This record gives sequence, C-alpha cells and structure tokens, in this order.
Amino acid sequence: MRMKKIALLFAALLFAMSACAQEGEKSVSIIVPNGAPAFVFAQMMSEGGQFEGYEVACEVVLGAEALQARINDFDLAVMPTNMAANLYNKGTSIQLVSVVVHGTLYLVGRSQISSLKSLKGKVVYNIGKGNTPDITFKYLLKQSGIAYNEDENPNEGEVTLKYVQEATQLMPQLISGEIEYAVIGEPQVTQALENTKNSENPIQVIFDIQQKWEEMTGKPYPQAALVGKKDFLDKNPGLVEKILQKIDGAADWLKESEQNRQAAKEAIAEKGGAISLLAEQTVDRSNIRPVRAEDAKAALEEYYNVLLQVNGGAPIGGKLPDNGFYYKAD
Amino acid sequence: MSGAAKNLIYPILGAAAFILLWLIAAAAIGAEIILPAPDRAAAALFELLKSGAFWVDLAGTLDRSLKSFFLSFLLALALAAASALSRPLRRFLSPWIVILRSVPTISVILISLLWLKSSLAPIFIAFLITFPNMYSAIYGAIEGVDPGLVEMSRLYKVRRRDMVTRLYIPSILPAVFTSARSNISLNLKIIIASEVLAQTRESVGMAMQLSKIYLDTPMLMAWTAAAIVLAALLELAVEGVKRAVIRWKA
Repeated sequence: MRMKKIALLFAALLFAMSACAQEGEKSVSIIVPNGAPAFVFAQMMSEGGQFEGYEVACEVVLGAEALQARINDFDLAVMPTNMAANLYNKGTSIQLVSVVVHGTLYLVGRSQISSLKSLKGKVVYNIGKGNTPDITFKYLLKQSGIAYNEDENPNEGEVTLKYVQEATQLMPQLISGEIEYAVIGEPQVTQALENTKNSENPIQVIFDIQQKWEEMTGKPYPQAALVGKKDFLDKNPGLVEKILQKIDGAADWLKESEQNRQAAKEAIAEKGGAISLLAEQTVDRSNIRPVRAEDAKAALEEYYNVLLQVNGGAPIGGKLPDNGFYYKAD
Repeated sequence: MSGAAKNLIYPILGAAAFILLWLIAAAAIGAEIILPAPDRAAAALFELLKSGAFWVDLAGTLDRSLKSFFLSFLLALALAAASALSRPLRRFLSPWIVILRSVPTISVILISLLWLKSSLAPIFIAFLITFPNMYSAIYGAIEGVDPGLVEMSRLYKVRRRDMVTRLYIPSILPAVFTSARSNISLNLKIIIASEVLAQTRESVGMAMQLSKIYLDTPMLMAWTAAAIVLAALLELAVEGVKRAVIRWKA
C-alpha cells in the first residue's frame, strides 16, 4: 500500500516535471528598452502572454544600457544597432534579425532655420556624449562642412555642442526656453512639443536627422534592431517568422486608434516602462519600419563605417561584423 | 620571519584572495562585457596608461577634486573655528549644516546639474557633500578639547596665542587630519560620479561612461583601478602633510 503511494507520488512528480520542461521549451523572453523599441512590441504586449503557442514574457527596461546587464536573460531583444554589432564582435552569440526603428532623432528648437549652416554661433544640446545620436549629428555637421566644438559658451563661426547624460536632464530647460536647440528622440519630441504648444514661442521640429542622413548617404538610418540569441533563433525559426509578420503591422496598429495607443501605453507600463504621451505623430516620427537583416545589410554597413571612424571603432567593437551577424531564415 | 615581512604578508594574502575571487567570478559569469577577468582588465590598464588622453582626463578630474576639497576644507576650518568663538554664529549655521547633511546626494546632484556648467557642477556637488562632514568633525574636535586644560590655562593666565598654538591646535590636529583624509577620497568619488551625470569633458567620469556605453568593460575596470590608485595617493598625501605638521609642531 505504502509502496503504491510512493510510486504514485513519484509518477505525479515526473509528470509535473515533464510538463514544466515542455512549458520551458515553448516560451520566449523578450526585452525591449522604453520608447520606440517598446512601440514595436506594444501590440503583442497588449494582447497578453500567449503568441503562436508560446508563452511570451515581455519586459520593458528603461534604456538600452540597462540591456547590457541582461544579456543572459533574453531570447529576443530590441537594441541600438551599434550595440548589437558591438556585442557580436565581443563574442556574444547573437544575430541581428531585423532593423525595426529607422530613426527617432530630431533637432528641435524655438525658431525655424533654413539649413544646418544657420546653427553656426549657436549652442546645440545632445544627449549622451559619444553615443550614436551625438556621433550622427557630428557626422551631418562634418559632411556639411560646418565646424563644431565642445565649449561652455557659443563661438562665432562654429556650432557649440553641449551634453547631458539623459533626456530628463534637459527637458526642463528646453521647455523653459533656456535651451535654444537640442537633438532629442521620440517620445521626448512629443513631450517637448506638447508642453509648449500653448506658449507664445512653442518648440518646433527643425530638422529630421534621419532624413538628413538619408540625403547624405543615400541609405536609411538603421537605429535599432530586433536581435536574437543564435541558439534560440536556430531552434525556433517558425516563431521568429511569425513575430516578424506581427511586428510588420506594429506602426499601423498604433496609428489606427487612440484606443490602441492607450492600450499600448498601459501594456508598456505594466511591463516596466513608462510612456506619458503617445500620439499618432509620435508613431510617425519614430519610423517603425521593420526591414529584415539581409535587406538592411547595406544600410547597416554604411552606418557602421561611420561609427568605425569614432574612438577607434569602439561603438561597434572595432570592426564590421561578419556575415554570421545577419540572420537568415532557411 | 622579520616584523616587516609579517606586516606585509597579510595584505598580500588579502589582495591575492581578492584577485582569486575575481578570477572565479569572471570564469563563472563567462561574459567579458559583464565581468572581465583580471588579466584583461590589467591589459586594458596598460593600454590606458600609454594613451595621452588618459593623463588629460586624469588631470582634469584631479584639478576639480583638489579645488573642491580645498574649498570645503578651508571653509570648514574657518567656520568651525569661528563657530567655536561665537555662539550666535554657531546657531546661525546649524540649520545650514543640518540641511546640507540630510539632503539626499542625488538631489544635490540633479539640482546642481540644472544650475551649473558641466565643468563646475562636480566641484560644487562634492563641496556640498564634504563641507558639512568636515565642518562637524572639526567643530566637534574643538569642542572636545579637554575643558580641564582650558580651565587651567585660564587660571594660570596663559596668553591667548599660546592657548591656541599649544593647546587647541595640537588637540584638534589628529581629528582634522582624520577627517581630511577620509573626505579627500570621498570627494574624488563624488567628483567622478558627478562627471558622469554632467558629461564633463576631459574627466575620468566621462571616460568611464564612454567605456560603459561602448561595452568596453575591461576599460571600465582599468579606469576604476586608476581612480582607486588616485584616491590612495590623495590619502597618502594628507598623511604626509600630517606627519610633516606634527614633526614641525614637536
């Protein structure tokens, strides 16, 4: 009798364990930074934890840098394309699946100007010295033959660059008018415009940085990408394909209705992020347009070649990533 | 075994245990961008020492650190002495000190960043944090001078100047130097943290931030080692001054 009980218990235990293992196989962990990368997965997040038979665990972290400490924790993640190349070049077993965000960067300010040249003698604030928005803006200035320098006060004949570490450090001064020009990204652009739209001198979008990039290089600006662990991608090609199809509709879904945007904000907040304003224009200005790795490679290499010129190529780990970096469905 | 060797062996064992733990942890994690092995960090440090930018950044941070420290120290010394002489001044200053001591460090940092240029903010932030520490320590030391000795000096009509140089100064010196020593390295740490947030050009903080965003963790470790050495040298310098002063007094 006793033996039977033990055997039964044992069988139950085995069954529970196998169920667990099976569940473990059919799950996917996705980590995305707050902002445009989170918009890409907002619809999936708002539709609950199941997708194509997989248990989906989505998490929104507060910035791309927070991802660095979590590289062991995700199957799929959205991250800046330079970070993806850097991780790959440093031996992390990841692949770039799709470039999902084609630039969220804008030069905003109080008065319209006709060209970048008119920024001479002005101070322009940037977020994160040495980070890609800074590198990109400097590249545009350099290609336009405009001198720039980092200084406390504006100088004749050149653009003076100043830096803060994160957007929250410059928003108060930008909104109060102490800062005349700044390069910021969505969703902060929406925040700056909304907060001053009823003032005498509202903040306006002056230049679309990614559009300038495209004019100068002939290629789109590949800012952030969906990246996956190689093992996971190899084992779950079907899921990856379904996710790619799903996120193709991400921007349309967000633009469809205020109700969807509200659901997106709530889902992002529930997963650990925070989006205060999400308008239709926010989505437009975030340039959410997934392009698969093989089709995005030329644009990525154009961009990586610019990053290679900075700090000995440190932003991408010193070299162009090889072909193994680009995911290809068989 | 000689005494000197005995004194050395335990610190060496301690350092070796630290490096061993580091090696094990690095092997266990197995991801250089999270925790590089000590030899990778050491290689990065040598690379760093060879670069000209390293010395420029280090000099910038040292300069800010010394300015901030001397501002805090001299003001703390002057105000503590003045407070000891004048009760109204002491009472007048007390709410300032209480506020400065209890305001959260991060508030000081965030508010200063709004007000000041990126090259000045770190100096001001470190000043606001170390000044009340040193003021309280020095004032406490003056108050703590043996009241019996003070009373006796008064009874024997010792000249005021002699009371200061023979009684007060020798009594408070150890506490002043202890406080200076711990605050000079605290000051450096706050300066570096503030430089990260203020994005100060030519600074150790900015260099650390760049290594972080470029996922160059060995370089971040190398900068950390450089900052530790700098803090130790600053503390040693205070210790050296202390010895010189005590010898001169004696």
